[in-house]
Amino acid sequence: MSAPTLIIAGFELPQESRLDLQQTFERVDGGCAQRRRAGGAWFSMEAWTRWSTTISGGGFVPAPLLSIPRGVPFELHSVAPLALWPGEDLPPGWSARTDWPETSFTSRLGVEIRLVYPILMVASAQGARMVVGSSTPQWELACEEV
Amino acid sequence: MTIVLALKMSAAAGETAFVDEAGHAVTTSGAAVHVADAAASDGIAGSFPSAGSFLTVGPSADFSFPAQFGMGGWVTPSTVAQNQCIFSLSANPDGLSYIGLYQFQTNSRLVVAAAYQNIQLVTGITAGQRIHVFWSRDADNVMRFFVNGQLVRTFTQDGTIGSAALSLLFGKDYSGLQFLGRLDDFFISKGDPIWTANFTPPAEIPLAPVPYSISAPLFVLAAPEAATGPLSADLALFTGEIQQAAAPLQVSVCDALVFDSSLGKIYWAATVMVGALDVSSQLSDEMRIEADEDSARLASFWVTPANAAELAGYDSALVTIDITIFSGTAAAQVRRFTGRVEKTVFDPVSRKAKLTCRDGRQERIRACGSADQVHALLGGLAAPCAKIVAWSDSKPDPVGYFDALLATLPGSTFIDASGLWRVVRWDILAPAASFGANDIFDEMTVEQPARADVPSAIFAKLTHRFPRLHCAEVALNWTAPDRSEYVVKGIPTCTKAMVSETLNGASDWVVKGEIVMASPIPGSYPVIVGGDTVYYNVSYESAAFTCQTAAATLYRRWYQEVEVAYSVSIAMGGLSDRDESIADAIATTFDASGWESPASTAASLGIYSANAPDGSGDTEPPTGYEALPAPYPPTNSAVDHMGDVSSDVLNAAVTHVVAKAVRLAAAGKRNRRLRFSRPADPRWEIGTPLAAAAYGVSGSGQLTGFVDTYDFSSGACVTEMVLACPDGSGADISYTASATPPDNDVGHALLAPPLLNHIGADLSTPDWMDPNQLAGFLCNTLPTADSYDASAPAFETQFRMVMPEISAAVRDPLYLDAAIDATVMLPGGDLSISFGGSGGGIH
Repeated sequence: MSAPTLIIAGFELPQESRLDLQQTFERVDGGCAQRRRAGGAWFSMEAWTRWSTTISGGGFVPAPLLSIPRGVPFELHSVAPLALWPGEDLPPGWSARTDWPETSFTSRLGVEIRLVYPILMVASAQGARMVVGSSTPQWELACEEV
Repeated sequence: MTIVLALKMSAAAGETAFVDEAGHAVTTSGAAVHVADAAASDGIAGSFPSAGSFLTVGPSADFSFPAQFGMGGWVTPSTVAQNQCIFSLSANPDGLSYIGLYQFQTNSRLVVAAAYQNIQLVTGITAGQRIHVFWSRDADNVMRFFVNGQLVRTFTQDGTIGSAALSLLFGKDYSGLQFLGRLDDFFISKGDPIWTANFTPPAEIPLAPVPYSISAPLFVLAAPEAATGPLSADLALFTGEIQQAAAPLQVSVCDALVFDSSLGKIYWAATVMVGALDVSSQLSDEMRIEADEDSARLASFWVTPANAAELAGYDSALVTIDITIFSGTAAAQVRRFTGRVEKTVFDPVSRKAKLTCRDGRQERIRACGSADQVHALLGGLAAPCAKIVAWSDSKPDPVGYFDALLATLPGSTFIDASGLWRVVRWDILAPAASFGANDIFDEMTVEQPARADVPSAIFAKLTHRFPRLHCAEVALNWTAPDRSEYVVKGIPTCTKAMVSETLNGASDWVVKGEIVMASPIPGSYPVIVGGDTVYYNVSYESAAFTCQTAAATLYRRWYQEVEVAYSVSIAMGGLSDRDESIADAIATTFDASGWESPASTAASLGIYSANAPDGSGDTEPPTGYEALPAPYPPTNSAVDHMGDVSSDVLNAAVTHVVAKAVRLAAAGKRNRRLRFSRPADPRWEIGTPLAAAAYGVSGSGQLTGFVDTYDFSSGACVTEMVLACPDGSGADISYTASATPPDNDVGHALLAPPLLNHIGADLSTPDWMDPNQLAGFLCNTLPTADSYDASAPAFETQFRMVMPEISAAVRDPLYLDAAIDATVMLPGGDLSISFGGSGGGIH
């Protein structure tokens, strides 16, 4: 079974560099504030939403990964799919990979789910981080959507 | 756009039938007729030359305007010396729907009567002046009034204007108030206001849709004075200039649903233009917009310039800030600030620049070049008084003049989000919006006014200093001694020169007219002396110089400084005994010292040697006050000389002082405030009546200030509002003031000792006489006379006069008190605090 290739800043990571691959998506802190109203009800004010993603993996750490410049935007072609409801849109600024197009399937309970492999425009404040000392070298790249 | 009335008035001169291009029947009454008019685009206009000349159109459902409309045309009054109605409905059933155009004699002004409002358009029009008048109402019920295409007034009025059941009258109103003059190209548009900004008056009725003007008006009044009834109020003068905006036209799209907090979430964005550059995407950190009454609106924000040139371009650039809010499917985009960059602080480490912007309030005031322009900035609501606060054309001080008059304004001034200068009264009207516990954030404060804000009373005093001019007269008469005295005692005769010198030399007293002196008749007069007859001879030569009788009226003029203190007390109900007084002083400009001075010698020399004018025939009777300056007080009385402080000036000064006290009182009470925050709500301008209720606090009042905070980092968008909830009654702030000078009942009854004959060195001479009674001819017996007494007092031969003194009561400065007749209404906003349970509340 093949898997989508992980492309970071135009560099396609080889399989041996993406052992134990892990990717997280979470919202960037900020852009949305909440307060309680006088009656106790919640009220939210949002100016913007951005996502951060952290990818980590192990194995051979290629040099291009370590040379990703700090603060410069680049494209991240994710290998972690997003599950979307029918009709739901990707977050603003995200696009779908065309090399690994969207697929749909229906779960055992009859729920239709769409799987989309997203492309994000991100930048890394610190660049890639490499850890050597465990069984295999580990790397980690924390990025935020620009 | 639907034109429902089009009176082009373009038929041939002499034609009495008028046609409505929109198809309604037009009835001509009286002498209404088409006439040649060179000023009209087609050379023809409708003329209403005499009483009873008018046109009737309708009734029609087309003339009921529940929403948008526009109407107007060209007006040329042939006289401004009478009150006249140009256009009206055929009746005024409820006032609210009434519409009419009037010209009033006072100030020669044009007035639109709309509902219960009398909207003064322009003053000082002249007979024969052709004026384009137009008014409209837009979808927000904003009515705008234009004269010659220039916006002069706006206010908000909802409800139906006009009536489907009433006819339209041109040339008179329902009461018969006649218009004399010409009308041309009068039209009405229904459903479309046509013009909502300055425009070029059309030469003809715009039967096709016309493009809106792209120039934005900058001068509006937020709320006009309300009339007590149609045509019954006299409005303040407004002659504000319209200044063209240099900012991009404001676009406001506002769906009120966006501000419904029950939706629980809003999305927002800010569009900031610095010059021609959109820096919205370069904003960061916090943007803050704050506004307050009688203060400049401030905006500050952080922006990351793309390059040094852009950073340099920020200096003094024009700035506009629009806030866009989305909630669900509703959206609102509201202009929140227009101004200029005042200061730029650049941080090269973060590459961010903080821009601080102001709305140009100070520049607007400094740009005023006349007192009228300053009055217009204050919406005609201030109480100017040149005697107290004077404008100098040679050394104009618009800022100082504005600040002085601002102290008399029963309201506030500010520049709104679109850069328009606005004046708003401190009325507490029904709230435009009410915010409950689910509409505001979890913070609220109630501020009670300080003790200093609400003393027990505020006193207003105006002191007027003026001269009281007095005039007193004393009549003097003297007759020479009996001839026997000359023979027996050998006393000398009294010469005319001696009498004249004495009377004319009286200190502070002046002879009124001439001294009437008579000479003895020459001849021999028998005198019985000791049984013998002796003849006393009066020669022709000596008679000419001798005074037999003398009569004269002496008068004296003097001034007395009078100070009248007009005062009124405005009860505030506070517990503080602080003395909060407003005091001003005015003085009549008059050279009282010069008035009091006697006429110059040259001026007082007699003109006539004979046949002087005596008032007979065509001659003017002499007053005796020739060469003396006016005014001339009544004889033995006094006149309070007000001079340049006429009744109008005095009332203006009194009004000025009372206005200052009213503002001080209202400002103090308005320090009772309710402060709360809610999600960004850029709809409301200063002066808007609002209400809020939460945490057991309920308050309604007038928005006096707000702070918008937009945090691009956290996403928070909050508007903090401050409502003034004064403790008062009623909705309107108003006052009246007048004063009447106290009456002057001064009367003089001065008496001088009689002019007698006193002979000294004689056996009959008293040992002592009161010098103040020794008046008249003083002389001595000859030593050779039988009655000579060397031991008796001997006089210096003279004609002596003792004039009465002026008492201190009518000479020394006088201080009087008088009352100002004033009524003051301070409006009230509700504010109640309840601690819950059954314990009642604090109000």
